[in-house]
Amino acid sequence: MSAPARRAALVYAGPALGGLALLPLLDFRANRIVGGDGVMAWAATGGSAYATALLAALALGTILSGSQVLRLALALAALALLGWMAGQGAEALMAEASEFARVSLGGGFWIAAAFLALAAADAAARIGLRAMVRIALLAGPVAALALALQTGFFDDLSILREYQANRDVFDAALAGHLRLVLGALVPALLIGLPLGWLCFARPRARAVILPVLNILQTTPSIAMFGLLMVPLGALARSYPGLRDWGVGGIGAAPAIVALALYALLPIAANTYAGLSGVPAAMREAGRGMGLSPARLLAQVELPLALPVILTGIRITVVQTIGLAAVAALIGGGGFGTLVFRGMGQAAMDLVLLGTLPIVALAIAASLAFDAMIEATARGEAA
Amino acid sequence: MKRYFLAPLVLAALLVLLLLRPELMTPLLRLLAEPGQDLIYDRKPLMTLALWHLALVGAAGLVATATGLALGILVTRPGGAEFMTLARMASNLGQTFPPIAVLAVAVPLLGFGFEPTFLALCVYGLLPVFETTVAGLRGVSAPVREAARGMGLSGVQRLWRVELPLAMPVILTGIRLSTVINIGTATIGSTVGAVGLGEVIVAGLQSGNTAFVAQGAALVALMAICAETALRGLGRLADSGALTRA
Amino acid sequence: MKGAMIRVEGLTRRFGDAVAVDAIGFEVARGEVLALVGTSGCGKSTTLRMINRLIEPDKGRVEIAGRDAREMAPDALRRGIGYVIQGVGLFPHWTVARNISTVPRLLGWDRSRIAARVDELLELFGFDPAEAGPKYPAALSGGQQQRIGVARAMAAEPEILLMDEPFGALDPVTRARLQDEFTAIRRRSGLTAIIVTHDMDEAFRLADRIAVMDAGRILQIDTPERLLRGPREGFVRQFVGLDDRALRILSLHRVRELARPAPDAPAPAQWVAPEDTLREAASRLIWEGGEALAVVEADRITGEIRAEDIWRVGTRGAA
Repeated sequence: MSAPARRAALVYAGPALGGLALLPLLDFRANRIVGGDGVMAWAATGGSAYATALLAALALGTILSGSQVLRLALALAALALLGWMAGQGAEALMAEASEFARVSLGGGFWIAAAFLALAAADAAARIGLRAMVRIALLAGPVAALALALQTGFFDDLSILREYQANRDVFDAALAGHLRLVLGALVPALLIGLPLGWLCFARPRARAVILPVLNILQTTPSIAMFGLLMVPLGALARSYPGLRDWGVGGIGAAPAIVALALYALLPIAANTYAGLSGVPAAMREAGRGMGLSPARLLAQVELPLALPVILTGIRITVVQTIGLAAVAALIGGGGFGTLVFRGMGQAAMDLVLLGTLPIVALAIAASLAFDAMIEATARGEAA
Repeated sequence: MKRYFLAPLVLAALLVLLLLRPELMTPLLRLLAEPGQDLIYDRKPLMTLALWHLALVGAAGLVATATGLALGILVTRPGGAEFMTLARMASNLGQTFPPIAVLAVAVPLLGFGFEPTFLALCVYGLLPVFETTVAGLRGVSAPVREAARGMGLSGVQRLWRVELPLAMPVILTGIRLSTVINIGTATIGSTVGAVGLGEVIVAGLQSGNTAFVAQGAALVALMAICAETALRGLGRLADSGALTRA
Repeated sequence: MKGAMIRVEGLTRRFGDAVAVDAIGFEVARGEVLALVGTSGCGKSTTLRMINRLIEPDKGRVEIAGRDAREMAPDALRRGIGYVIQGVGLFPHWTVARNISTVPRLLGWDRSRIAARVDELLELFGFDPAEAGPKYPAALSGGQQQRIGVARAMAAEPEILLMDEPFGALDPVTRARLQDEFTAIRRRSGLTAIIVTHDMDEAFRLADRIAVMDAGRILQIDTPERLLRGPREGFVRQFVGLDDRALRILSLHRVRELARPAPDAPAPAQWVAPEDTLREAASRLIWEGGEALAVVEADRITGEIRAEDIWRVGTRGAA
């Protein structure tokens, strides 16, 4: 590995180890009111000192090793070890404590986990794997994590205690969040894609459509949610039957409409950009061969525009997953419910219980779309 | 130059007018409110809220712009290319975390009010500036860079006299995006007590007063559009080269 | 060569496992123009860029006016050398005048001296200083941009000019015109220059000596005529191209070299000027028929030139 590459590896491994050295791996609180005591990585259980040394060795290995494949393996192994240390440590600490005690993940854990994950991602990127392979590779750690969760390995951590206590709320939040996102995306696609095409086909339409969508985009999200409560509330009052469908002033309906409106601009703008990015020469050739405008669109323009359009959809999906968190403010459900509840109770674990799934969903969607984009872009020659 | 800034000046004037004389909005707000509700938010002067809002966005914008520029410059230097993946991943991650999540995680660490909102806005505003700085600097054509090097301009001289001026229009687009997005995002900060126009919206949500929500939304949207047109005008000024003409 | 302006010894450069430049050595005298020619990838550009240290050599030495190039800081070295590239690289956000004044400004010349030099160069290259100075590069044609590029390289009065395919991006007519302009200018200013080109004709027009390169080595370094008369290897033979070689040799010589005093008999009806090439004279003789042409200067016949003399120059084995 060249010197600059080593420097970059240091940027990941350094903070990871530094975090573990300076910040606690776990926080132990005797009860909810008392302040927490940090427990350093090497002090959690009997075997922690050896585990920490091994972790340090693995991390150093990522700097010293010459091959990126080895770096990836070492980083993943370090992550697994870190997870194991957290789970074991929590179990050991809780074994001796009262039932009101709480063990949560400390700053050291988060920093180390984040940087080791970045190191793994960096190594994977340098190997130059295709997106599909990268996703398959991700399946391994995800499966391991799922298995650990299933077998209760992490059950002593406070965040999982919180999950156990609020399982039905969590499940409702998951269902609600997915309902919000999909409920917004389907109409947004059905309207946004044709709008984008319209901007492309009729320049005069574009001059009106894009600025209007832009104005929608600049409206702050909480305001949009709030404003939509009025017409939907009025609608529900006039047509009581709609209430059975869930349409009303509060709840998911205004949130879904707002999310759909926010999704329109990225979808339409990227569709327009993708279609207008098709080289004029290709269109000329197609028309010259006698393709009708509809055939031209379906067989030439759309396939070539697909990578850019998919990028727009990816941006939209990630944005929607994130914005849906605010829907809880107007009773729209979703993981935002947990986040706001946690903020109200000053309970970090609830906040994390709401935030981590959102981030995980967003990252998963991002990776899935990246794979799709890569697949469609590969079909293009130079 | 005047026509670049005509629209924002008009919008700014309208904004100031509405902030000082919110009663003007009454006829429209009446349509939205239930009978018996207050129409105009009067717990704090709207102008004060607007100024705090601007201060928050401005301060975060300065930090985000400075950081984004610095990272973008660093990553495009010969020694910094290795960090490109890291910087890109970090920025992308920043965008994936919804602002409400950043706020939620920052509150236990930094308390309520200004500080967590400031952090969330810095994180959120970073990516557009970073990406456009990289794109702008990379967009300087190869012959121009080669000629600058071959003529004996030092690295700093090349950056300051050639590359940055040429990248400036693109970078300004990123700064504009970052600022406009943050004006909207700052409203969420009011859910954790940050002083700003978001307070009006949140007050409306809490008491079911749609007139408040509409007021707050209209004022923020006006501010955002004003900023967008002003920065677009600045961008066009930069495009025409008037800023860097020597 | 004593007092050579540029001397290169054992210059080597690798990229990974590939050897781009393999222990090259040559000298360029003061006021001389050397062309490095070869196909793509032969190492000519790499060699050029090792002289102003845009690329650092792995082995070997570059001496400029007797001093090792490594003694100076690279930026300082480059400010004393003019550098012209194919893409020109005029800074789009500065006026023509500001572009030209780049290096003089860096060197701290005072304003009036810079302004005077800019005007001088603009006139030299055929521009009206008042009109062209305030223009932006985007407003210029390709040929004009290339001229300004050379002017910019000459602004700080360097003694050496390094040029990498300087006229490659231009159409043939503009290219020929610029090549002639360049030759006139550099003769007047006494500049030393190394020009990299893949175009043999360009090398012939511009250079005093030509180095033919292949796979990182110099195969032969000679004057244009000696290359035509005695190409050493297969590759040189192929690259130089031996079709028309007699005519190409003729185009390297001028009528004035062979003009004789006018005879007592009436002068031939057709005429040529002293600065015309022998090739043009030969073409005129073939077209008009006849065995001699009058040499005319300022509307006066000053001599004559005979066909047999011309043929002798183009014969194998001549000087």
